[in-house]
Amino acid sequence: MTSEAHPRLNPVRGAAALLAVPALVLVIGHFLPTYPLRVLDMILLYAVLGLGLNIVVGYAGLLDLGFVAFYAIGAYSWALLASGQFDIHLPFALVLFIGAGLAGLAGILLGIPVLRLRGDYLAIVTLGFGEIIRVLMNNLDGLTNGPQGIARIDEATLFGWTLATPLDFLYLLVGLLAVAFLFVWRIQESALGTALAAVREDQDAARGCGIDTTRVKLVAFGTSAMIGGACGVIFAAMQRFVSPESFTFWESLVIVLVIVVGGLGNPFGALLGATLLILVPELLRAWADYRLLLYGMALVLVILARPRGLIARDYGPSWLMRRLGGG
Amino acid sequence: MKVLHGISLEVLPGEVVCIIGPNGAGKTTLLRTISGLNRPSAGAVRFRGVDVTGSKPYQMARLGLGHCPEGRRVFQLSVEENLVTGFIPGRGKSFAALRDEVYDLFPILGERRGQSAGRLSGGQQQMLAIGRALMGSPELLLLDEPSLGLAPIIIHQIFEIVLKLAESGVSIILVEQNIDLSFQVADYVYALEHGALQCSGPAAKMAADPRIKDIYLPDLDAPS
Repeated sequence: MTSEAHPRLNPVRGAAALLAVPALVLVIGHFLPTYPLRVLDMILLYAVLGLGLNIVVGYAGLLDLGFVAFYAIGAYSWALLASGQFDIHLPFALVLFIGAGLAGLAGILLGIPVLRLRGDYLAIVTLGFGEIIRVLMNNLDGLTNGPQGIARIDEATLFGWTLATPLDFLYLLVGLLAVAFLFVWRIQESALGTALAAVREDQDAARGCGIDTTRVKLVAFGTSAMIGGACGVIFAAMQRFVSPESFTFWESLVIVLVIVVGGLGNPFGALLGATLLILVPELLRAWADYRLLLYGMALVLVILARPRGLIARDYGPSWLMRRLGGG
Repeated sequence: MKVLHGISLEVLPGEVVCIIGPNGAGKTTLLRTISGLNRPSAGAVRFRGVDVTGSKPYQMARLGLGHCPEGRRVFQLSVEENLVTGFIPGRGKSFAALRDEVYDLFPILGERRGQSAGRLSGGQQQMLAIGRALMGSPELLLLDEPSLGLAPIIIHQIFEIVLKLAESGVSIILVEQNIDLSFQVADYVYALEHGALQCSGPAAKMAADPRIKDIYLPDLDAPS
């Protein structure tokens, strides 16, 4: 379907942009010292998390405040299946699928009972789910080693390529981000994307349009959780240590902020939001005592100035596509 | 809560059936029950001779029932995206064919296909809501107060479209407060009050019925 609202991406320029931007990030990565490189890794990781959460919050309009649970499930998958904890040492590529799969399954299992709820009620239940997972990780000493967490996790090896340095992970994350971006873009432009938009706008009217809203919401919840799970696996492989502390409600909130600040329902928003939300606190480290204060003020200012996010849905992809020479 | 009590209603192919009644009579509830948005506590819904009681709204839509809800409820997407949402594949016609039919019926929608539905006027939004329901190529179309809050000239346009659709073979159940026009387009009229059927009959007969006249058409004979 071609319309003014969604001009088609010019394939040549689109592909060029798709190759040039990641290549640029990788080139920059080669010149960065370790610390900024780690920050860049985190930005990319949160961008992918934002893309994942965006499916549920931005496209389907369901506020999920427990997204960190899926991230935790992915992280513990790698921690348990590739460490001395149970002396299991599965390959990284396999665990990437296991972690994403388990998280997706958890998303669907959570979705079946809670997706009857709307708005604030859904937000509260998902918040509770996020906390339940964290408390479980904290207390299942025999499985997760409790608050001490799991250390000495295996070094990740992907088809003979050992992921040791932050630069290695930069390559992995750029790849993951590109895949996630294309995936979310495809969803947005597909029949599922319109169905999600209809669910977001008006569930009753959507059902009247022949949309099976329950199924659409479950698909959204499941795919979003899968992306969260994959991010968790990579996070655990990067840190080579996991503990429940990494998966507090604060993390869920940061991921929600990534997409709210960046612009809901828009893949470019997640990229911009992640950049700001991870970079700004790092830049503010010089003012250690005022760091959170300034960070909070910056967020409030952004929301006051651009209540619909820095890249609002309407001018997001379409605007960029016109720039890229769409029809 | 029980709202409807023992209402029996029938629509034949290509027929326009109008449901009238004061606020709170249960007109909207009746439509929502037919399209599966509400579940009846007793009774049955039959569509094309098949019992569809308890079907989900999306299943009803796929069977060929279009529901154009009260208050329009268009999505805050572009006009064409609204039509995409309403499109139900596998009902014979392609998206492009149906879309062009809708743009033929409502040329203004074609002119504004890229605009956000939120920027349309009330009448245009109503046209879009009807167009969206038509994207499922319905055999039965439920229209819930399409004249609500619209200027008389737009109401006339919309009723003309209703007649046109009925001529093309679509059955229509119309819920209306605008009694004058409803009686002009309807073949058959049901009058509800407090969730129960008060009286029903062919539109011409009903218009002459003194009870209907007293309650709903007090000004019809009055000199204007």
